[in-house]
Amino acid sequence: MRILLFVFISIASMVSYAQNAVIPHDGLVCLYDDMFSEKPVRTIQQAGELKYILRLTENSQFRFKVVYKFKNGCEYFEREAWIDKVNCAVYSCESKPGRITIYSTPSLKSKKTHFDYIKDEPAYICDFTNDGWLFVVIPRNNVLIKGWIKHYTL
Amino acid sequence: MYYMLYRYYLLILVMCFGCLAEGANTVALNSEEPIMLYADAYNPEVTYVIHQDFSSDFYADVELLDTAPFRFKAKVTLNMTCGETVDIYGWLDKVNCVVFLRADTYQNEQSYIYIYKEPSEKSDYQAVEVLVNSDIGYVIGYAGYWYHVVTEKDGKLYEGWTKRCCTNITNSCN
Repeated sequence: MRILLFVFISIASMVSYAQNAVIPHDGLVCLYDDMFSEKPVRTIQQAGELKYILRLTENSQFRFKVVYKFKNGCEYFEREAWIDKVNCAVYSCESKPGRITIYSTPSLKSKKTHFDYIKDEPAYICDFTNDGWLFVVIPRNNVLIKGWIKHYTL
Repeated sequence: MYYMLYRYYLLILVMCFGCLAEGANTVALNSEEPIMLYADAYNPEVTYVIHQDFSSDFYADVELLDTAPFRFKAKVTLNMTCGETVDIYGWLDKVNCVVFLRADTYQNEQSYIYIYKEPSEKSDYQAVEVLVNSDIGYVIGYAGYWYHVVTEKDGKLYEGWTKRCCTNITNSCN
């Protein structure tokens, strides 16, 4: 029983640290077969209930390699591709009521800066670590908020 | 007295504009695939689709005007075969913006470009073998005459700064 519990907790912790992202708009999104190619291999678009979840697996200067998951009817499908970073985002969570916290490095001990929380404001992902941190940019009123976040939602 | 000051003021103004013009950064779009021009730095709204056709000498000149994390704001000049040009403004994905790399030095009949750590010739650099006229640098950013590029050589990525590049898609890059 204890072993089962340990396995369950281990899996749960791995799942919570999966670097997932969403597409923050319903426009057309091109997918590529490498980090630089100009010719898309596929285009996708979200609509209504059809939403894509992106699991980030590799970083490059302009794109992420992702495993994108989508529901077709009752079944889920997974495919792999490269996607432009401008199409990968999360939504930051409140660290205190009405505030979000941005860190200068991927560490809770690093310098913190607080900003107002705005609901449904996309935080575009530039980089990620394997322990749950995302380097994001949040464009707001001609100011670019950038730094590391740990608490976010999809 | 006031007239002299006014003349100096005008001279300084002209010099400043001259510097700005010299520092203008251009890039090339090295593809005949459709290239999207977006309405802003983040949203997916496409305002124009650029179709270049190099065999017909139909290509775009691109001047970078502003930078955002994923896109450049650009003035795109379409060069028509009849000699006319059309200017369009919008945002381009950075991955579409390239420069052609030139050599800094030659050794044993090989060409090498220096990729600097900072936009300064005093900073550290690595020499990367380059095939002049065909190797490209994908532009991440720019500062004055310097381009922040990433280039791929034998499956390895090199990222850094260079001034040794050109953006002319139709002529030689020597």
